[in-house]
Amino acid sequence: MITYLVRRVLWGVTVLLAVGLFTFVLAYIAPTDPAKAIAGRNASAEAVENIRVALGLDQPLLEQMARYLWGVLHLDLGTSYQLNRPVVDILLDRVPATAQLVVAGVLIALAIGVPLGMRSATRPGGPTDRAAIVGTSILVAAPAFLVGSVLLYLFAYQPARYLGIELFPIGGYEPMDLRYLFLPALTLGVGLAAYYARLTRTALLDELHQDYARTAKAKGASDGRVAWRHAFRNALAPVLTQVGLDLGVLLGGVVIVEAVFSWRGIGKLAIDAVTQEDLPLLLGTVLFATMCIVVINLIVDILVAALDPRVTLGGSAS
Amino acid sequence: MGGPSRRRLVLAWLAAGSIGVSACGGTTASVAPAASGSTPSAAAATSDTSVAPSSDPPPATAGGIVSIGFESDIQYFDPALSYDTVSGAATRLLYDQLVMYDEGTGLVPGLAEAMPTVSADGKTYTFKLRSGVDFYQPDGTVLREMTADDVVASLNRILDPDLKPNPSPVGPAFFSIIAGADAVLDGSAPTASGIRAIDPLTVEIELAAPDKRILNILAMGFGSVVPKEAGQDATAFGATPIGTGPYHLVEYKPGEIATFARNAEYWGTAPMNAGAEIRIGLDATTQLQQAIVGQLDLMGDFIPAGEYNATVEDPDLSGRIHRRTDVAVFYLSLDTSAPDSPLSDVKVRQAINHAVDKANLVKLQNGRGGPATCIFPPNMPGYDPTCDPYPYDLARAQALMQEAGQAGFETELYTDPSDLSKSMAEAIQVDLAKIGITVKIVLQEFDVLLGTIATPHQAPMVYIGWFQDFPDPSDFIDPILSCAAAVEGGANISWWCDPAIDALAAKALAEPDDATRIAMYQDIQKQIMAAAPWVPTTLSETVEVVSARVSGSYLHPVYSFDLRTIAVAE
Repeated sequence: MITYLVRRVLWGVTVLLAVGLFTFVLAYIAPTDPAKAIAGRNASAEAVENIRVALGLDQPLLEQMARYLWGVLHLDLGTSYQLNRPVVDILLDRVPATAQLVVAGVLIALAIGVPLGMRSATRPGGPTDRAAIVGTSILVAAPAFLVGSVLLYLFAYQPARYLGIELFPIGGYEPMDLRYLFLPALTLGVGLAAYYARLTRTALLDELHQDYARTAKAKGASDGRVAWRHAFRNALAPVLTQVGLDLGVLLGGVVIVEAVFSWRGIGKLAIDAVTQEDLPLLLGTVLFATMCIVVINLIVDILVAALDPRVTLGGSAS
Repeated sequence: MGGPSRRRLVLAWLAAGSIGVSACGGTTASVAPAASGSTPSAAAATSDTSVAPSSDPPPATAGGIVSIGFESDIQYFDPALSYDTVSGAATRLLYDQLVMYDEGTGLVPGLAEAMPTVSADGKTYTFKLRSGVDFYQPDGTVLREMTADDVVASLNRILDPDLKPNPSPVGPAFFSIIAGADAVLDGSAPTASGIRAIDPLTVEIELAAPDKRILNILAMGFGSVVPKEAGQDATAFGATPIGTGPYHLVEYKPGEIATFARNAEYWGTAPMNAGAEIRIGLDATTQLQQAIVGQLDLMGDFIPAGEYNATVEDPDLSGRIHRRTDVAVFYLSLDTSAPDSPLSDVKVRQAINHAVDKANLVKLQNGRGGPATCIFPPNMPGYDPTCDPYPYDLARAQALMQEAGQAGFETELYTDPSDLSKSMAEAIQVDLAKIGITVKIVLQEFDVLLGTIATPHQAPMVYIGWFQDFPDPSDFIDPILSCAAAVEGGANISWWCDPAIDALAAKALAEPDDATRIAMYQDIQKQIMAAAPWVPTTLSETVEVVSARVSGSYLHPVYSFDLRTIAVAE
């Protein structure tokens, strides 16, 4: 177990460094000029050059890269060009907002998706199942920016404008305020819910066809009891693994949802960093997202092992 | 310039402006330097500026909190570094300058109790300061009274090459016209010999040479007076900003909100609201919807292009649309001096001027702003509505091409990839095809474009805008149409250099009489237009929606967004 953890952590650091290097090179070769972007047109050539020197952009690529990686190893991700604050501080400021959104989104997804999938699986081909298949197909395919904009328009803007009722605020973020959280979390959640519903359905159908399920049924257990008490726990493992694996996709969705709802989290920060050519901030958000994926995958692996005794960590069965 | 948001970032903080509205407007009697106690908004007549909708007069004792939304964060609370629009909106609340703008581009006494006396040689400006002006700390308490030492320290601070995290890329150059400034800039002296405190309430500023821009420069945000203790660490000072302005900064949450409260004993005209909020991280669509339903009072970013028509035509919103013609001009720059280029022929450039259908270009920007026919835009002293040397005339354009012996040629037009710039470039492409010029459009991200066009003869044609640093006509000549700017890295992207014009511009800078001076600039404008280094295309207009509870106007021709003058019903 310990060896496994050490190996996984080392692997995680390697992934981080590789992603960091890759992004750095991409940012370097992109046809942009941050110094010009900061100085603007009314600045003199000399002033632009001064900025370039101050940012270290006049140095060779390898030197810049080495300096950056050295900083990363010391948890120093540099200073944002536009906000003049350490990138680490900015990221930490934004973590709570994104964490709330992600947790709420996943909870909504699980709350809708898993029961729906179970119902579909226990009565495959039934009306619920068929409706669910059609509905989830649409929701899986619907882009988050569309769902988000429509929800915002229908439930925040329209009631406020034409009925004078402030049902939900039109975008923005307040810490731990459900009125602000609901629509973005729902946008994030419904897309995922559709996905989880299909996943749960497949996994549960598999389990229901196993011998133990048939045996339980033969002993007189009701369909519901077989599904909930016996098969559910086993079916949950692949769903959970998938949640972990999909975190990258989820974080991608968070970027969109945060942008649509002006939600002040890491995703919006990433978009701002791109549009303002704020390279340290951009690199910071990318590294942060990578780190999240590495860490959550590790946690999910451990959780799955705890849920399903057939899974062992470290490869060799004990 | 770039797309709306980019443009915002780059464009000048629209500082400055007067050199005599009296001269420019001709009719508006402004600048009554007036007795002490006169206040900026009371002292001068307004020029023909922002066309705010008629609204009820603000209540005498307004108590509401006004809010404005921005996509971008406040970069700097330190006026020595603030030059973007969002920071400008914040620093406008916290600081004052020796001279300030009225509702238009007219200069009136600010922290000085009257306009300065100027020495006979035009080089020394003497300011008597108002007495009893207090510095307010972030908790709203008074630090102490402002004195001449603070003014001297503030102006030297702009020049300080060791300001942390870095000196402003634009600010110091403006102040380099002060005697002894060069020595501070290159680090060989701590203070400039031309900035002197004569007594606790008298400041003398001596220039290296007579230069009428100085008052506009002092009125820029960079000219804000901060306590002499402000020090070299702008980040630290920005965290707890102290100024003489009508508000103090109550709280700033990065990426979220900055809250300001009114100072009870402000020396000047009290703001029309009890406080202000700058809400950050709201995209333009969110701002628009929030302003319409009243969750936000004022928009800081443009109405998104896709929603522009529906919004301005919405009968429910009539009277809630605020407009300002920006002191800016968009133009097609032509490389006038590239070797072996057809564009080096003035007849070809004149033909191009006649061939561009500006009415069509204005349509492409939803009818905003109107056509630009000369160099100086409205609200810029020197603006001449009769100056229109090249009306749209295809036959004349074709004739000029023939006179030049040009059957046609191929060339490249550079601009940024924003939707508006792209469609403008395409419309110009179609227009020029009619006189045999085949235009290839090259789109480059704005910062890359800035590099390309500052490289000699790299871009034969450029579509771009120029926004004022301050409302003095020199700002539309010296930085972009002088020989000195026609160098690698300079902003004269037409590479047009006429020493005779340079000499006239130098004379105009020093001319003491405002009316004569404006006439000189109008003459310069005519002469440059005759040589046709540009096709002026369109004017820029800012159009915003405000909440129903707002009265007063906040789109200022120089201060960009001025929250001091907005009242909100509680």
